[in-house]
Amino acid sequence: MRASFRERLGRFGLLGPAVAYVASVAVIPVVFTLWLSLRKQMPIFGISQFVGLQNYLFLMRDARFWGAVGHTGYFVLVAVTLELTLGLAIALLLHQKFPGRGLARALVLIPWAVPSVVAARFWEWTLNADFGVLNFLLRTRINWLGDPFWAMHAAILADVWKTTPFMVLLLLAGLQVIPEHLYRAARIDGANSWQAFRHITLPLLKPIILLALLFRTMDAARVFDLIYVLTGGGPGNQTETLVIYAYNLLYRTLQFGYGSSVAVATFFFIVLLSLAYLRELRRTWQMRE
Amino acid sequence: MGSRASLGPRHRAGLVVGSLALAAISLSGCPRRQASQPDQRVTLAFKHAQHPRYAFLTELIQRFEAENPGIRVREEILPASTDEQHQFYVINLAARAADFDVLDMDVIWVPEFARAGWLMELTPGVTEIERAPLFPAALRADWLEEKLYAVPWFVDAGVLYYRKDLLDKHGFLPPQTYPELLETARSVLTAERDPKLTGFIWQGKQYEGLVCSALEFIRGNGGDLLREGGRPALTEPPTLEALHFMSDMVRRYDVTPPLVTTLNEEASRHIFQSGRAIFMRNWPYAWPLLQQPGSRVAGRIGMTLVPHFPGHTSTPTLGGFHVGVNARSPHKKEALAFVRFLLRYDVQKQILLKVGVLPAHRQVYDDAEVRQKLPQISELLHSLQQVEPRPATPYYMMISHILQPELSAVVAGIRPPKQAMRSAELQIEHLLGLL
Repeated sequence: MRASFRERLGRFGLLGPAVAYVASVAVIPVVFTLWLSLRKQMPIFGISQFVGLQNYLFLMRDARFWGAVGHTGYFVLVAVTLELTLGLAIALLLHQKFPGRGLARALVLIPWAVPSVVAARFWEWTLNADFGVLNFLLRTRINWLGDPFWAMHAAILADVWKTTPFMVLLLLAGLQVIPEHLYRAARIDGANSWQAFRHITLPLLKPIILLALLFRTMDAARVFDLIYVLTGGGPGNQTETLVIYAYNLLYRTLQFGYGSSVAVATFFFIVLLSLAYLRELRRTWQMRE
Repeated sequence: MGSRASLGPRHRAGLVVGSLALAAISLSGCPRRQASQPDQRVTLAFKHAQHPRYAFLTELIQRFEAENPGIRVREEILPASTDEQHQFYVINLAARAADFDVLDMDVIWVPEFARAGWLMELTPGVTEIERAPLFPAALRADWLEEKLYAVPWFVDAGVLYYRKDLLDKHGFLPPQTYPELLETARSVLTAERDPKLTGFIWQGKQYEGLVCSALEFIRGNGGDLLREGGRPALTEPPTLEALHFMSDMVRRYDVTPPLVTTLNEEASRHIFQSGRAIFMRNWPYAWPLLQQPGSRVAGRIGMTLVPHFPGHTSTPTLGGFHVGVNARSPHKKEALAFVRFLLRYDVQKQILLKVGVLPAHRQVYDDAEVRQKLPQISELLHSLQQVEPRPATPYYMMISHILQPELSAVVAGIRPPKQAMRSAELQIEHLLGLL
């Protein structure tokens, strides 16, 4: 049955406020950033002019930008891989029946509940080369946050601690919807635990794994507060990520035009990563239908 | 849940510049406060940074209000970190905010804000008689094209702290030059055989403090960041030599521990205060904290000029805060009265004795009561008479943003000084070419 013109008008009228709201908080700022990124905008010097793609051309040759791309990529790759591996292991463990399981599930979530900046401060003290607990426990004297090699890995460690619970949460939810009878059937057919995991758990968990990876990748790619507090991007910019670079340009040096082009590049960097996952995710869903 | 987690990338990208969008929207119609309130009194908003003893500032403000019955001053506290304070000012001033009148600014922001047209000119407002007693080096940062845009209300200078007990024990005088410091530190370290003791610590984390520390090495060798005329002077021999020495302190002489790459002011103070460093470069704020009861080094330390290289002079880096008036303030006359009040001799003296920061007024340091209550003041006066501000140019923040990672790379041993400074110089030249 076709809706009458009046009815359709009514529908749009009802949708209108929501669309306007989303536009005002999500679309307008993005469009505004795009527009800014095509300008040379330095309020201190009264410079405000349209320069087309000049900012992006400079971006292509900006070693500091490519350094930030590299650091961000490395951070995402290592942190998310570790989080998935650990998260899956913990989720499988918490899926088992054992006394105190409810408590254990609640406890696992604590790091996730801690605000990032608080977690960063906590890790700043833990990783302190001079009196930090980590060096004390390991009986090492590693300059965790000040060594060019260790600084990024220390940041990854802090991020893994903080966000593995999120992985656990999603994967645990995924595990709980896998029907128990599949496992029983497999056991009757003589499958061992590994075979059951390999051929039942993993395939059925795949959409959730992809979804969790998507969330975490997008999140890790815009890492800011954690690293900003831990190292400020140092030493020697070895931990400067895309968002830290954009922040420095925008707010510390007031290069609104160029800073916006770095922000836009970061946006596309994340979109590209996300699209790869979404394609895979769609394939998985189509296969199931 | 962390805010990062709950936002999609689109929202986040939006957040980065969302405030800019708001700023642009507010260009059109900024609410202006009523110029005169029903009771004919003007309320000034004074934005300033938080400080442990700023409570005493309120006392000073009450005095100002008593002396000026028509004016009230409302204190509005800025966020804790200077980066956030800078960000607050930039966002609001770029959006032509008129809802605060008097600004408390880090010395390095003044030329930038002045160049942007955000500060009211103070040249006729603050008289020459009022300016004359202020430290000239501090005031130098407030001039742009022969106009005055702010005045220092308290100053700061890098100083060298030393362990008087250890130096006395091994028969050393406080060092004046870097080679002397190196020699003293090595001898004391060898004699003490304490694996926890280190020689010389300073601010080596990648942040503004590193630029302050490095500048003292560089200027102590006759070098500088910029030449006359504003072009970079980073690859000149005095600068490179000084940076070589700075990095050798860590990797060759073993006098500065590698963890210096993580040290800011407070982390340095903790190490020194727990008795594990012979020398420390820091700001004067640390003195009362190091000397307070319960401190492990209380009564065992001294303070002197930062070192220099032979044939040159000690050049501490200038810090401190300046006050200016928002160019869009509807109460310029009253705001100016408040700024001038802060410069008065008696007020400056209270700023030292009560608020606990170093006044910008030179004569306060000769005051009999001050000399008696604060014997260390004469040592600080020496430092303040030799300070140099960081380059007072409107693009200082950009230069620092380029320098911080390069200096950090030198300290961390990622790149040798020559390579790092050449890279910084190219970036700065590129930036200056854009303007």
